[in-house]
Amino acid sequence: MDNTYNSNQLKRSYLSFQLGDEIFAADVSKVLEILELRPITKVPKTPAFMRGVINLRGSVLPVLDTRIKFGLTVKEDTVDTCIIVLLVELDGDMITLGALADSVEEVLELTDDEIELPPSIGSKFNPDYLKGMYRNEDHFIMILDVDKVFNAGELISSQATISTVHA
Amino acid sequence: MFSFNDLNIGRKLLSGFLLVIAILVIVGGIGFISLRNVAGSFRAVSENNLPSIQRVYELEVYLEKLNKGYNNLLQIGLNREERDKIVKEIEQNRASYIRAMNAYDAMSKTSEEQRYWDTFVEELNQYAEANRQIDRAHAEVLRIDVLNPLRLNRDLELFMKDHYALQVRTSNAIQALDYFDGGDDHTACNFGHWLPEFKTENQAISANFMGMRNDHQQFHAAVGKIKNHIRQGNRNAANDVYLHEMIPTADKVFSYFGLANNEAEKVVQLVGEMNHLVGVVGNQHYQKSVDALNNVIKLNREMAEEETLAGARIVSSSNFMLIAGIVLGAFIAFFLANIISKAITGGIQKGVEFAEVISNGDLTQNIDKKYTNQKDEIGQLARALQDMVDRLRDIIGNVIAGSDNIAAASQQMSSVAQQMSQGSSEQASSAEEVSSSMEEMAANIQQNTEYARETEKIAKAAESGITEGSKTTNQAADAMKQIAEKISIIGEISRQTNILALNAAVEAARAGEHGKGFAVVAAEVRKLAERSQVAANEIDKLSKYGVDISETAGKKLAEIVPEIQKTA
Repeated sequence: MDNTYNSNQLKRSYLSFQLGDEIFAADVSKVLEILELRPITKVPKTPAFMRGVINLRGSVLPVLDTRIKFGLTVKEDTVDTCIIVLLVELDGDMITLGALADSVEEVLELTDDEIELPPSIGSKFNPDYLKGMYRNEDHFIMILDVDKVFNAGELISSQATISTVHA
Repeated sequence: MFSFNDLNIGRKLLSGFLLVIAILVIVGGIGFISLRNVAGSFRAVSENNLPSIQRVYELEVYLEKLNKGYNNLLQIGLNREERDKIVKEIEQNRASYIRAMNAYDAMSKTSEEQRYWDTFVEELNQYAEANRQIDRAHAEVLRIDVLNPLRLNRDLELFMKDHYALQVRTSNAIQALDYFDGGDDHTACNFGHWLPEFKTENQAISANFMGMRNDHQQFHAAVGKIKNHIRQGNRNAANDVYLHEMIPTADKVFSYFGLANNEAEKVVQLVGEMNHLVGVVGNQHYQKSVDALNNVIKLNREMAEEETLAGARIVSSSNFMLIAGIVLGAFIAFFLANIISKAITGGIQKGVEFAEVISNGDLTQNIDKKYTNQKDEIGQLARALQDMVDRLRDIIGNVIAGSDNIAAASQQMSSVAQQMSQGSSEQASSAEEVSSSMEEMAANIQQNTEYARETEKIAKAAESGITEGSKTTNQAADAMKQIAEKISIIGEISRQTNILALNAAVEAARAGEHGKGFAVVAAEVRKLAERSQVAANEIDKLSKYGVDISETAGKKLAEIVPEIQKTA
């Protein structure tokens, strides 16, 4: 965030998507594109949330099952299930990975004022993963800190696994 | 409550025939009893009255013969054989009349008849008593064996006269010493001629005449001696013979004659007695008994006439009863036949009329409760027809309801389609495809509506149209399935469009200020895509609903078809 601007008035874009009953949002700057669900190649000896890999225009893209990652109940894929291709900073490196979403909702433009701080207690999600919450009419949209969410230790192993696959 | 209508047809017929049989039995019974009464009358006449008359007639005839026999016995001058013959006849007639009497006695009699009969028996006993006396007298006559006492008397008188005359002549000749011829031969005189021929069973008379023969010979021998003395002129000697020989023998002979005469007199007395018995006592009782018999005959004849009249009366009365029974029976049988045939044909007629009304397509009619409540076959038929009509009404109602459902669904679809076509016209590239799909769908819906209307019409026209309707609903279902498929394509396109729009929005957001205009367009496109997807989902839902309804209608129609075919 640039301090020279009135950060409260600066509009930023977020992509909202649905996972189970909850709606999450991710900063558009972290989103590369949205893909329709396609066949995913399973990779052996990977954590449960690793769905596998897909071929994205010639490069290998690991895909994560966000439901498992977020500790939600696992559900069958539907026609609305999408893969959101994200750009994540991992130990200084920028890597791309796919995250499964039940459905992609819309692109929101929000100012920082509209984003409230996440509650420190009483939430089923780790507040460290959240940037904040946005009240949209009658429900909340949880805005994820994408880098933190996917920066857990497991991802290293996933990166390692993929590297192994490369090798 | 039990009703004659509740009996089944077989029982109705059976009860009718049983009643007719009962009437037949009653009429036959009347005839049979009447005939038996008549037969009883005839039997009374033929077994009682007529034989009674016959027996009594026989009795009378034998009695008359008997009486005649006794009258015959009274004749003088009958010899022993003739009398024996008559007595034998009398015995035969007596046996015969006793037989007839016993035969009659064994027969049943009325009290009056019995009274006459008792009178007869009383008189007959007295008559028999008289006859027994006659028999005794006759037996005495036979024992005396002087069957013609008058002639014997006359003969004896003649012999006495002869011998008196001879005695007188001899006396005169002795006085005049005048010789005379004859008189000395005891066989030459009338008695001498008569004696050898005379025979009798009477011992007294026989002994009498045997004793007399000697004296008679001596008498005539004395005449011979006197004649010799006269010829010699010896008057004294002659007189002596005359006094000592002729007179005593003459007295002896005359006394013998007297004895015989006494026997003859006895017979005459007996015959007189018999005359009295036969002519007065016997005849009197005979007449009285015959009168009693005549009364019996008269009574029997009257009874026979009475029985015959009674028979005639029974015949006429039973004739009347038989005719009345036949007429009444025929009337009842006719009445029964009328009722039973009406009970059967009336209900069937009603059933046929009702079936014709149904076949003309009028299902609003109901069968009269009177018939459906009946428990016989007519009632079963009426109930079956009523059930059939009720079922048909249900079926047609279902068909109409199904058709209405289809029409409603179609209308709903058509409105949704209009809504969608509005949305589609705003959509750029996908709009054309949507529009073309919409047209196709509209056409299908139009067709569907038409089919539905046709189905409704055909359904209303009943049986024949049902099959067609079923087919049509199936087609409608197919068409709607096609719609559903097409709609899913639209849905797919909308979804893809949505993702494209989102990607565009993401790209625009990433471009920052420069991408702002593009972001607006992308948002609009996304909105359109979302709306078309919503519309597509709604259409999909409605089509599935339509398909369900059509399939249900098709199934129902398919179920109806065999039932309609059954009723047709």
